Amino acid sequence: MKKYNLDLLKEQCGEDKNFFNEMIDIFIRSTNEGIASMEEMLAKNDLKMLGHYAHKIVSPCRHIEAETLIPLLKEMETDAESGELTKERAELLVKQIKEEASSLMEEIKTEYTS
Amino acid sequence: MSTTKDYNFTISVVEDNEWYNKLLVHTLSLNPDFVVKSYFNAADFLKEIDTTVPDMVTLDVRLPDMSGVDLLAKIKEHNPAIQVIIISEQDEIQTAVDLLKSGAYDYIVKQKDIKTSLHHSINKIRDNKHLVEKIAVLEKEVIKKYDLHKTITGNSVALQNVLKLVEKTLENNITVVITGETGTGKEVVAKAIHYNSLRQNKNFIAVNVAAIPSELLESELFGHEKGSFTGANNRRIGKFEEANGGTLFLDEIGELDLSLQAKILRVLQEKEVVRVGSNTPIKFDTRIIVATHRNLKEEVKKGNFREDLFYRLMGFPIELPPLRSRGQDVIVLAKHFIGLFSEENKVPLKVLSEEAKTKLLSYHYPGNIRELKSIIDFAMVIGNGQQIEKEDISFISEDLTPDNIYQELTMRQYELKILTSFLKKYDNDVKTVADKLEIGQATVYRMIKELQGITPDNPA
Repeated sequence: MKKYNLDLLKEQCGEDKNFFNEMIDIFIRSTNEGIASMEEMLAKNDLKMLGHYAHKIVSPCRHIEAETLIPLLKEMETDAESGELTKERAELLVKQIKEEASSLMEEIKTEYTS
Repeated sequence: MSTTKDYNFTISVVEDNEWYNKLLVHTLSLNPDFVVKSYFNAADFLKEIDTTVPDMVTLDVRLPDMSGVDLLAKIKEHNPAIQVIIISEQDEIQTAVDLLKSGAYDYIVKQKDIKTSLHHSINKIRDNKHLVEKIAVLEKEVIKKYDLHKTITGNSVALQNVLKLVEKTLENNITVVITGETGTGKEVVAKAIHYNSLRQNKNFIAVNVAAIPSELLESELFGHEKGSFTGANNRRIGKFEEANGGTLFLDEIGELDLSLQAKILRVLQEKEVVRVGSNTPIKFDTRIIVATHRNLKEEVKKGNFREDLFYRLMGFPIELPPLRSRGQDVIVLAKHFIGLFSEENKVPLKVLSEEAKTKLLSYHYPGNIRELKSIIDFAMVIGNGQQIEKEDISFISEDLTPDNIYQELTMRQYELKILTSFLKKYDNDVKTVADKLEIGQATVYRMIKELQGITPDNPA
């Protein structure tokens, strides 16, 4: 089963293939940047900012129906905001987010370049 | 679906998420009527707000340099007309309520159907904007329409004196009492005062006191609370409140019931109303203009009008002259009404023949300007050519008018005309006509025969 659904994005891009490609590129780049920032914040023990970066990634994920990644990002965001996020849980979440995101992006790249 | 497609609509997208920003800009730019500008933070947007002057802003609730709530406040402080749609990742009811209370137009969650929600909201904003613009244009039109020298038409000394008095009332809030015969234009003068005064952008509310049953008038003027009487299904504000900041015109004030006169006196003294069924006084700031065809001083003497209310209202009296005392104004007004009819009915303009002018000037106009307008409207319809002839001029109460005196009839012919008029007035009731004219019934019958051309020399 696919980890995402690009139908809505395709519909919104219409005939504009360049725009579609650009949106995919931005998604991959910004997700990677977001995860890198999360790792950086984790190293600095800035758990509040972890929530901020999770928040930034979640909107595009919701749009492409990345259903396996969204709950992880939402938990990170919500717990960071409420102060319930522990370092241990944060490490685990970042690790899982990174793995899910990598696998998701691989799938997209495969479909997108094929 | 929006009905407004005739102007460009500028939208600023303020969204720090690059992916979402692009998507919003792309989606909105598909509409050729939209000019879309993109910003990734509050500072850049605020820097350009004066040059871009957006009609609408889509605002991410979380920005790197400022919260959406703070930016919303800044936008509204800068220009309350800019509509703001909040775009949020989360459906947070309390945040949404707070933002909507602070002036946001809508709160949309970043979900799959965002495109539909966004367009629906934008269409409503555009329609509202279009309506606001239309209202502003119409308000200007109304003010233009009531330009003092266009509204109060005429060159007679009597009218110029009225104009001078009206001008004295424009820069203050003095209560104005307009008196004059029916049809002399009391409401027109009241509107002219309002639309040329400092209150011109607020409501002008006219109430004809004589036209509303006295038992309903109190609630009409002061408003009522829900359930205050049978049929009061909803709260309703009264005319005093409706005219707050503007002008309340009470026409035919002389017809006011004595018990209501006492209540109005109190309202005018305290400058506050209490809705029917309520105990809470509501302050108002309303200018009062009243009008009557009666002599209020006489009505006070007769006990029909409260003396204290009379003195409370007697701020600045303006008496409108009857049309018959305004000489050539009759022709000036006739031409004005010809123009008006032509414009309203999209028919060619007509001119008055010299004979038609003479005929118009010979009449005494018991119905004053209102009657002249009806005469001209009729002449515009009945006449065939480009000129209004004297035959096109038909007076409503011509049988007993001085107009007939100019026709140089014999005394007998005048008598017959008088009889004809009375027969018409009393539905051919010979006895009543005879009583009214203080002549015998036999004389009436004889004159009727004469009218029918039946004489002893010419039997039927």
